[in-house]
Amino acid sequence: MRCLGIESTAHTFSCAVIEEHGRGGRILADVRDAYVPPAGAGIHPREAARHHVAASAGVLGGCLRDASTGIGDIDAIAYAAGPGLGPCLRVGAVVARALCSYHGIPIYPVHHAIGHIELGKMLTSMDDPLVLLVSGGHTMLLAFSDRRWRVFGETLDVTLGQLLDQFGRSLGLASPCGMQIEKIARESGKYCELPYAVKGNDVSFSGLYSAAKQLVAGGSVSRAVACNSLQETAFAMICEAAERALVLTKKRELLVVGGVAANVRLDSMLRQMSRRHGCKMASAPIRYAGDCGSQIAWLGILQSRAEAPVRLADTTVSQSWRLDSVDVNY
Amino acid sequence: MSLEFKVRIRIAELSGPMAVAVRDALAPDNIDFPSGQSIKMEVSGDSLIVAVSGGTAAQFIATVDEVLEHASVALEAARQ
Repeated sequence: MRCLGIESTAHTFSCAVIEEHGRGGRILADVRDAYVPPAGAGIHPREAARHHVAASAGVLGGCLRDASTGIGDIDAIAYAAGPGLGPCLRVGAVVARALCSYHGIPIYPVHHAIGHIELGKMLTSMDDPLVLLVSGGHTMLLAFSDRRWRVFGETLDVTLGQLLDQFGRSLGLASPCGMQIEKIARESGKYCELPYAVKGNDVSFSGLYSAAKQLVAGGSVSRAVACNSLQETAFAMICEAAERALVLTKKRELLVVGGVAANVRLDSMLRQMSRRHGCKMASAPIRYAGDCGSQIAWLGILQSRAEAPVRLADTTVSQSWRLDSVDVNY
Repeated sequence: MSLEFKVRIRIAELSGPMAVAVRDALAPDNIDFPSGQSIKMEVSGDSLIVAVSGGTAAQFIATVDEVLEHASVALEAARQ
C-alpha cells in the first residue's frame, strides 16, 4: 500500500509518499516548502495559507516525481485535519479532497501530533515509549494506555517551541528561531539564573520568557549568554518533568519528537537523564523531527489498517483538537 | 440603509468530474460562517457555480478570496 500524506498545519506545506513494508514503512519521497515570516515577526495564518496555496502544486508534483509514483499508484490519501491554523489546515484539506474526489482514492483525516509520535516510533523502532512531544504547537509528556495517548505532563502556558520563537523574535530573528538560538547559545558557556517553574509533571515558560527578554533589554548580558541561559533553564525543566513521568510510568523507552527534538543540547540532556534510569532514549531523526508529510502519510497507513475511509462530506478540519481525545484503533 | 453583498461565481469549462471534484474539495469547509453570511455551491453541466452572500464587507471579501484561492488549488491538484 502507498499513502500520500499532506501536511499544512502551520508554516510548512509538505507532501510525502510512504510505502507499507510488513508492519513498517518506507519513505519514498518527502517534499516541503515553508513560509518564512519577516525577521522579528510571527507566523500570520492568512499569509502562511497564501504561501501554501502558491506552493501546493509544486510540492505535490515534486513529491510524486521523487517517489516515481503516479497518482494512480496511490492507495490512500491522508491529510492533517488539526490541530493547527485554520486557513493553513484548509489548504491541505482542499488538496486532499480534490485528489480523492477526482481519482476515487480513499481519504483519512489524521491528527497532526499523533503523526509526530507514530512516525518517531516507526523510525526509531520503539515499542512502548514515554513520548516527549516538543514543538511550536505542543509540549507534552505522553504514554499509551487503553486506546489513547494519555498526557502525563504538559505546559501550562506557552509551548517550548513558542518560547524559543518568541524569544528569538525579540532578538530580531526570523521564525522558526530554535536552530538560530541553539547556534547563538553555543557561543557562550556562561549561565545567568532565570525563573525555573516545574509544577508536578507540568512546566510553565511564560515567566522564563519575560525574564530572559528583560535580561537582554537591560544590556547586562550578551545575546549568547541569554540564549544559553534560556536553553539551559527550559531544557532542565523539561528533563525534570520527563524524569518524573519516567519514574511514574516505569517506561523503559523515551522517544522525543516534534521540531525541538532536533536540538542537540536538549537531546544530550535527556540522554544523560535516561541513562541514569537505564532507559533507552531516541529522538526522531532531524529531517523528520519537524512538520512533514511523512508523519501524516504514516499515520494514514496505520489508520487504514483499522478504519474505513471517511466520507468526503465529513472531512472537516479542527483548529483545536486535543491529542488525548483521539481513539487509536490500529 | 446598509449595503448587502451578493456574488455568483461561475467556474466554467470544466469536465463534469472536475467540477464535482472542486465542489467536493470546497464544500466541507462551508461551516461556521459569521451570522448572516451564506454560501451555496452547485454543479451545472461543465461548471461549478458558487453563490456567496451576506456578512460585512471585510467578511464577504475574505470569503470570496478564499473560495477563489481554494478553487484554483483544487483544480491544480486534480489535474496532477
